[in-house]
Amino acid sequence: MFKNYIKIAFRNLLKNKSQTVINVGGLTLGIICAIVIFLIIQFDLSFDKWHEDPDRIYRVVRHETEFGKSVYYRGGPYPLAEAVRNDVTGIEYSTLVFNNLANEPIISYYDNGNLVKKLKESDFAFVDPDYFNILTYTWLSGNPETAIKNPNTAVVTQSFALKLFGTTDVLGKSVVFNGGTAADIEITGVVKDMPENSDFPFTFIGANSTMDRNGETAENPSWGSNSSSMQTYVKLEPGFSEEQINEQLEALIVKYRNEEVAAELDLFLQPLSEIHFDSRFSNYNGRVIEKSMLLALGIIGLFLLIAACINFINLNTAIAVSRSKEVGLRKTLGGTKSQLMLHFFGETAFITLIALVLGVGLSEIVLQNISPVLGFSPEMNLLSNVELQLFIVSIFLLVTLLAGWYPAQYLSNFNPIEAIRNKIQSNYGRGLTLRRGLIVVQFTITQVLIICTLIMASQIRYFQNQDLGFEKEAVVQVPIQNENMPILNVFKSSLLNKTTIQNVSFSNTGTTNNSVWGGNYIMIEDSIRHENSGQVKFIDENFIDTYGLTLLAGTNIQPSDTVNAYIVNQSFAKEVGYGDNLSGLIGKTTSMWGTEAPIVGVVKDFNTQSLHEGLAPVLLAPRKSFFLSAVKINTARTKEALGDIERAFNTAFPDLVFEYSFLDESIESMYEDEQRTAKIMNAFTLIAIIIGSLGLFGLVSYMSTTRTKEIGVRKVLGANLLDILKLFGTELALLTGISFVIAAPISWYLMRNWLEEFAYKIELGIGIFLLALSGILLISVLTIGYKSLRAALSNPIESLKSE
Amino acid sequence: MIQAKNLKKVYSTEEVETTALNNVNIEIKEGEFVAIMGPSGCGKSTLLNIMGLLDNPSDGEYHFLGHDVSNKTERERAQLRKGNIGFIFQSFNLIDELTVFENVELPLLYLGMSADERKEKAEAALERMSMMHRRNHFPQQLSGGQQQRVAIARAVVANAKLILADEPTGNLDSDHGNEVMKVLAELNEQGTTIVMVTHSPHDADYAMRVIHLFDGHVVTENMQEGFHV
Repeated sequence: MFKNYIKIAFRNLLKNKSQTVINVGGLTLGIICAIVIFLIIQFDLSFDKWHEDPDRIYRVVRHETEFGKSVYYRGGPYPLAEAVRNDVTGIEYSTLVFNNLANEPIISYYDNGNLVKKLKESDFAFVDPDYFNILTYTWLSGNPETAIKNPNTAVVTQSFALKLFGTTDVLGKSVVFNGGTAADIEITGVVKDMPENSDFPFTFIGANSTMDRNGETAENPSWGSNSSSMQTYVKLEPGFSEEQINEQLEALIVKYRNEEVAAELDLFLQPLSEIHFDSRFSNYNGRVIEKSMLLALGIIGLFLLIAACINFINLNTAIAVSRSKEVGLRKTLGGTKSQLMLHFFGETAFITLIALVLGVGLSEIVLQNISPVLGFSPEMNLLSNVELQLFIVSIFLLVTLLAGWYPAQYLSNFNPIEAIRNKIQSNYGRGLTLRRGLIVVQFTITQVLIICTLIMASQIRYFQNQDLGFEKEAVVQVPIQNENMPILNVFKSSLLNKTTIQNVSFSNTGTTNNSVWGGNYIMIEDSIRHENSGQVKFIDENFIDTYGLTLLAGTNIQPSDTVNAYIVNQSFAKEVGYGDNLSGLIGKTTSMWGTEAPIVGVVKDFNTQSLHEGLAPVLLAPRKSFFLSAVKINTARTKEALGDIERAFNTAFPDLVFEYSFLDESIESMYEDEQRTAKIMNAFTLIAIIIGSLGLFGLVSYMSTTRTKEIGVRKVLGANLLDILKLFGTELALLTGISFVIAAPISWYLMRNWLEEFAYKIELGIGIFLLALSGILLISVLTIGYKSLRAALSNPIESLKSE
Repeated sequence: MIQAKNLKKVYSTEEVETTALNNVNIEIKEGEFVAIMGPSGCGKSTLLNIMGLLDNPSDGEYHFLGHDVSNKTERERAQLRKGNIGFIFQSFNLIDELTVFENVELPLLYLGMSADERKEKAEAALERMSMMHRRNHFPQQLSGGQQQRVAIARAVVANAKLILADEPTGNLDSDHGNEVMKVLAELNEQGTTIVMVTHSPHDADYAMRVIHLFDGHVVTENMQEGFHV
């Protein structure tokens, strides 16, 4: 019996080729999206799950109340890890993970005193020996228990060893860390690379005692200084709860600080399983994804699949009429309703199966090309991925059921007498038929996606065009790590000699950076004390010109090795009550980090961080604390200028590795997340549009053939071209309108939430919604235009002759 | 085999009630060949549908093979229909997507027969209708007469006791029509009961008995010459 179903299904597929293409094509697209989204979600949910006892591993994070604002930090004070180990009951292991991202070190390999290779390595960490008892590594050589027990030892990953040494047989070899200021570090272990789904991508893991001994870990290893580059990870003893530990952490602050601090500062445990998903804290992988985003992604996948199923249902019920004779006959010959249901289910299952095979194959191709967009590369591993196998089986059942049930029910319900006499007409009933309802659902999904995509795109464009308060074009930034002023001056003057270079400046972070230096500034005037958090930038006298900042009052700073003057921004002036009297601020004194100095100038506000963040009070001060050089170049000769910079750099700093970035590009990269989301949304929107158009096209082609006679009669009775086009267009316009009314508030709500993340955001005006509406109308008109025009232009004699 | 007592069939829409059959009393015995004649709209097809258990009467009794089927559900009627009644239509009604063999095999599929059994019976039926050589063709590749022979093969394949033929020659030229009528007569001689709706007096001559319907009533019943009930 089933063979018979398959046979007839196959012949039907071949007979109605365009319908087959639409059915299979739409379903395949939906299935590709579902599989790819499943793999993305699976990938994100799999982060760091393979460590031993993952549910006992935690990070100690902190929450502070700063000037009434609640702020969360991932880092803590330097002595925390050790205190936790010694003072807290229930801790099995505890480690500090030190990783200063602002300071990308250079690791060099010397053989008999000759430099063989040097690498800039941002994925480094210095940790306590307990680290390897907390996180699970696969050891290729070395002893996990003793590897980093002594200072000046480090464990490296397989790929790092290959990159630096060209071999993994590296036990006992030494490297020089960061320009040779520290002692040589001996490699005492090689581990397998962490898989891609880990938030601990370190390739060079050194003994924390090394840094300790050289005094490099922290300028002030006290409880008072917190930094995100000092994080504490622990593994609890079995049987201890988070709450038990949290209580003791609170007591630590009282013990090592005081009650007052403890009132505004909480230390608490963050489970390992949350590190990838809690956007209040970052991670070493740099990508935190909220679970709500994964849910949203899942919902989009489900909706695209539903949209594809809707095509299937609509098309199959529409053409059901042409199969009514077959149904009638089968019933007359003894087929029961359930047998016929089974028959039509079988057909749907068959089509779904074809779409599934195509979908799985094409997903593999999509996955191979999607990693540049995603930033990571989920893999399919169909044979070993049991969850995926189950998912594919569920898609098969879901689609077959969703797409197959209604048409099967509809077809098998035909009255055999009417069916056999071809008396069954496709019902263009008025009012809300199921088909219209489904089209509205589909249009709504498409419109929500279109509106969201448009809003994302305009938000990103807004970011790109926003005046940041400085000139971001033609500035090349080169990281430097040298506080030797004479050498820096050689570098600067050799550059200023070139005609390709307009200006050069050194600073700690430039104008705009992910890394922010800050603290509390204090300004006391007439016994009124202004204290608030602010940012500080250490600059030289060329900073303002190089970045094109606008000096609104006062003068520039003079060259100095230590802080002897401050330039502040408008926000600062506003906070201390000089918003309308900038020049009044000149000559007043303020202090930051304990250094008091006069304010000599006020600059126009500029954005120091991505536009997710608002403006903040900023103090600019001269101090020899430079990590970044900015070179303003002559854009007509960019290539030449880059060559000049590289040559000057290599001459001045032979031990460093030359790297550069354009300021505008660095700023752009701050919106990578948004751009990635927008790209993914673009793709899904496009797919939704294709699925929707396919369905519409199929429906209209069918309508135009079944209504040929009606059109003929209408034309004979005097209808003109426009009247006929209206026949097709009115209903479509109405359905589009209804779905717009549903889609607009949904997307408004969703996007308002999305925009809340940004300090600078577009207004959600009516324009963008109308644009989306006209977009979908245009797409619909293009989709149905050809078929309906052809139907309208057909000669009525032809269509009536057949009767 | 068939007893209809006071059969009534009324079709009603919101505004109009149409009586298709009114107090029809008919008895047909096993082995009979009955022709039903009458003008268009007289209720012939409605009667045939009720006889074929495709429809229920609005009123009255209908017995088929001793079962009272007047008020059975569609499912029960389908069960009784299977294997007992074969249909032949004016427009052949073969399924275009199936081959000749598969069309003939179809009723056996719904009877749940094994593949071997189906093959044997379907081939026997095709053999009987001299259509074996066309077994792998599709309906569109055949002439009208050939298509009707396939439809007859399909009607007899399950050894139906009753064959209901709705204007079986209506779409055929006279040569092919005669051929089909001869086949039906042969089947009748071999014991199959046949009820045939027709417009053609020529075709009706093949029957033992002719029932004339007019406006839903039986007006006359004529025994054909040379035939005995």
